Amino acid sequence: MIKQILAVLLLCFLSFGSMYAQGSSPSMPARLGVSTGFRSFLIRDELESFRNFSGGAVPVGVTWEKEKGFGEWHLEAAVAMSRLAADNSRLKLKTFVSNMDVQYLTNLSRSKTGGRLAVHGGINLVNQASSRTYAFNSTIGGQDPFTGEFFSSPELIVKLGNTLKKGRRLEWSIAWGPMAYLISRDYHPIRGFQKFRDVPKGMVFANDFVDFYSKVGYSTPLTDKVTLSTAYKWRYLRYERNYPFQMANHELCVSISWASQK
Amino acid sequence: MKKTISFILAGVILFGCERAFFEDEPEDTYVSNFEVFWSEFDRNYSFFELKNIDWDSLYHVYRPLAELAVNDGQFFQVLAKLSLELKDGHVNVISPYGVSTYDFADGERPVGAQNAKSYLFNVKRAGNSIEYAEVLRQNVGYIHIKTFGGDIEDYEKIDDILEALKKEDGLIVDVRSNGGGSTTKSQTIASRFADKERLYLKVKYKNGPGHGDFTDWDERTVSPEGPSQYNKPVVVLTDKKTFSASEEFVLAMRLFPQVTIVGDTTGGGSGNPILRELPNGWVFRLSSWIAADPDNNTYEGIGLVPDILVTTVPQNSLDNTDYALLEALRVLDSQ
Repeated sequence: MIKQILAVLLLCFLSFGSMYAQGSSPSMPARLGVSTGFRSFLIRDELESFRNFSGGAVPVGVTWEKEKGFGEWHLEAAVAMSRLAADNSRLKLKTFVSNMDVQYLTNLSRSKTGGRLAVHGGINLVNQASSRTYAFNSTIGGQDPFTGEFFSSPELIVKLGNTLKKGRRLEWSIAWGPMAYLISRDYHPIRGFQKFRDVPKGMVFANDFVDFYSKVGYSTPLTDKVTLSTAYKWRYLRYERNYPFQMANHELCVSISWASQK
Repeated sequence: MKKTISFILAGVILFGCERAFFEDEPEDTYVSNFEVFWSEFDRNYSFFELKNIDWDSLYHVYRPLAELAVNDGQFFQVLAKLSLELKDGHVNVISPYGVSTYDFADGERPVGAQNAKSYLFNVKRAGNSIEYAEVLRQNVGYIHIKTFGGDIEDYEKIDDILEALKKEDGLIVDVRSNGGGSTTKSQTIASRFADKERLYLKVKYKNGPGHGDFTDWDERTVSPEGPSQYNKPVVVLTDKKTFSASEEFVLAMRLFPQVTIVGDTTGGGSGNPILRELPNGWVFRLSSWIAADPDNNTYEGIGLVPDILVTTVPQNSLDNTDYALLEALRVLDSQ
């Protein structure tokens, strides 16, 4: 319980406390971008199978960024569909994952570093919906396992940013999600979409829910308005219902963004 | 640039070790495969309490046999024998050494619709799943649904079939030896005979690791669908190999006022099987829910008793008489 209280206090501090520690700064133009790349999956859902399934996908996404007086807003939405396989298994797993992340960051170090090296902190609200269908291709009829879940997790995020020559930027973000609101099947083998009534799982706290995220990004302006970025992202997610679910992703992505005005 | 690459590499090294968080998969040994098999049933199988099966004691009987297995064939026999203890037609072990199958017809070999052919003419097919015809010298239509596991397009032709048979005074729907398939498909057919929305099936799902952990009853209804409803007299033919989704079809059909069920008691398979896998790649199937009629009467291992009982097992192999079909004609003639 202490862990949860500390996490909530830290969230409050990062999101509101730092507003008062810094003065307001002029608004920067909003940036809209599109991204794609390669994402690897490693999934183990013990409710359905003891196998570790792996595979890759080409995610596509959109981003929106806006810097305002007290901080920065980042919105990122992406979808990815992948066919995964496990060693020594007749099962094929098809998964669909969609994310919508809403990130709010405040600059914790602006006054000390003069803007070149900056430390941001804040909240990344991760909203992820995913589904998984396991296909047996069996000669005897039966329901193929199907499952999925939605979670919304407020991650604590810290971003280190360094502005290099010619407007290039190098950034490293790390985030930790101590809790989540999770809607998931937790036991019974409902098949198909028609009876997906299983019980919202409710709030899952840190002991059950673990979410780590890291991103290393590099961006370079191509023109006054257009910026090219590359990033490597990693996420590890685990939660428990009656049986644990784990998912890990690596993603190498490229994005291009446009500023709404100079 | 060097700095950037180093930074990215550091990230990969620091965070690319998630395999360490993932447990190893169970080993592919006979004992490990047995443990997975037993555990999957222990947590997912729905009929332990209903059938009064002591799964723990069976573990102590069969695990030593799994330890003693010296080849895959022997190991398959261990799992097959254990699965047969459940007396469930929805439980199978599927391996390169065979498929274990429980004989829910108790050794009887009903001939199904085999003898009906000599009573029919103008036989037509709707895909591989349905045949329909007219009965010789009678104003009666005949629809033989061989399976509810065929292509969905086959079942969507039901409206065309009923249109083709609309001039008849009655209808025989033959689901003898229909081993089941999809609930959706059986409901598609039944909906054409429905007079109003009716509750025909209740199911409850396992929702915990205990043998008695279930959700509340979930109710399934069948409603009139399609361009028109068939409201002339109907007889549904059943036998001991009418099983699973076909029994759900019978559960629905017997509620409609124009329908009479004729034939033998059905096979008694209500478990909605799910597929699972062993570490060695073999697949097995197990029942995952408890189903009951609207009055909460379960029929797993019991079957559904027809309105008019006609045993469908021939007394001798030369007898080609379809007694159930003859009884169906008598019922239709009397209405």
